[in-house]
Amino acid sequence: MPYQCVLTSTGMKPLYSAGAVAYQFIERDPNVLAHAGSRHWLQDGTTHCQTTPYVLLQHGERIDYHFSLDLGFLTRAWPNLDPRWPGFKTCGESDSSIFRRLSAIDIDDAFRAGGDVDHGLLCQHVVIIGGTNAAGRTLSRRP
Amino acid sequence: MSEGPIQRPSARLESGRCRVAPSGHRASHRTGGRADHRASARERRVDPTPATEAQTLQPRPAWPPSAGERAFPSRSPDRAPVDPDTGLRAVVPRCAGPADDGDRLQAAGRPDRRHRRPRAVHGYRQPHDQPAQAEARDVPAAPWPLRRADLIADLLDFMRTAPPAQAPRAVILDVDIAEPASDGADGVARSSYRARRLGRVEDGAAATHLARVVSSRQHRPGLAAAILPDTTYDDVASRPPTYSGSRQASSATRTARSASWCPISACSPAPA
Repeated sequence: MPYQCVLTSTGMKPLYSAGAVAYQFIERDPNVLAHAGSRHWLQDGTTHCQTTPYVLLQHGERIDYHFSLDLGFLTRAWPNLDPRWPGFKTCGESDSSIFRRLSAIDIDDAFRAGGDVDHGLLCQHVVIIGGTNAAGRTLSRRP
Repeated sequence: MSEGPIQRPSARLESGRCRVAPSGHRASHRTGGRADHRASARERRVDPTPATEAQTLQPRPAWPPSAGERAFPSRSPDRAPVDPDTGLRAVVPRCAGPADDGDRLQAAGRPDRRHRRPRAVHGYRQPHDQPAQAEARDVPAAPWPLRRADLIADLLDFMRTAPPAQAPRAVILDVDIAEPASDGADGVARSSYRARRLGRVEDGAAATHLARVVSSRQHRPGLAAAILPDTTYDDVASRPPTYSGSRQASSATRTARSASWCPISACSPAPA
């Protein structure tokens, strides 16, 4: 779901999914981004929540091929990082995986212990702390 | 970023039963585990972690806990407490493993923040089952210790201190900073302030190498201005009144604070 309408002190507002927000930074091709399916949700969410907040969204949106998770799709859903990704050059990165899952607790423990935590794991990446698909869940989730 | 060291066991829902699986195979509630199938091929291919490395991690308590520690009164789906926010019975979180602390904590009736939550409209039935809500509140607290609230601020600090050449492109913050934590109200207040300050740093021209910190909770469509939430959704709308103040005191000032919310660029400095 690209967003959820929530009631705040200033009225109905959309809370966007982390994936929808992250994609705005991940996609570096402006032409692709301009035509991405997720774009209009970010632009229309506020109006939608203010005018018809109780009209349920019936479907999500294909953010782009990277994130497509089609029903029943059993094989690999994500391609490698584009060879033009700047991290290959500036970060000495060799791993071409689109997604990596890290334990925030492990990183925090190492950081607090004063260990030499390699910042290279952040290099040029878009980092999502938390990230779920429903605001009701996100509220209580710790990374 | 390496997937190697992260091998805490977790559980997933599969065919109506729980079974232990590597953490990278956690099922999502929305997909019912389909994402596992999709991710499995890639993870089998790239995961180089030997079993011996995974065994060196400190194990968490087994789940489910023993009978005397059980956090849920019944394993019967029909008798499971109804989540007052989602209107769903808390069946899936019971099958979730250690990686799903948040789900279980919510289902198990942790310290109540519901009165401060906005109502999620899309995709959820509005809570109206009062007896069920009362039942949910009576459920004992989850057996898992809450993480420190400073965890979030630590992570942001870790990213802030990255050398310019290794800084992340952006940081998407999608957690509730004001969530009750093991370091109590003081820790939550400290963490909220630290997180807001770190988010504020990117406003400075001298910090152009720093990653943009964006909260997906922000309701503004424009992503040019990175701010942390300024709604009652999170307790980061303005500076906490005092680090030693109680949670109740903080909540009592909530209405006034939310009426004049503080954009991150206009927040005043913290007390010394």
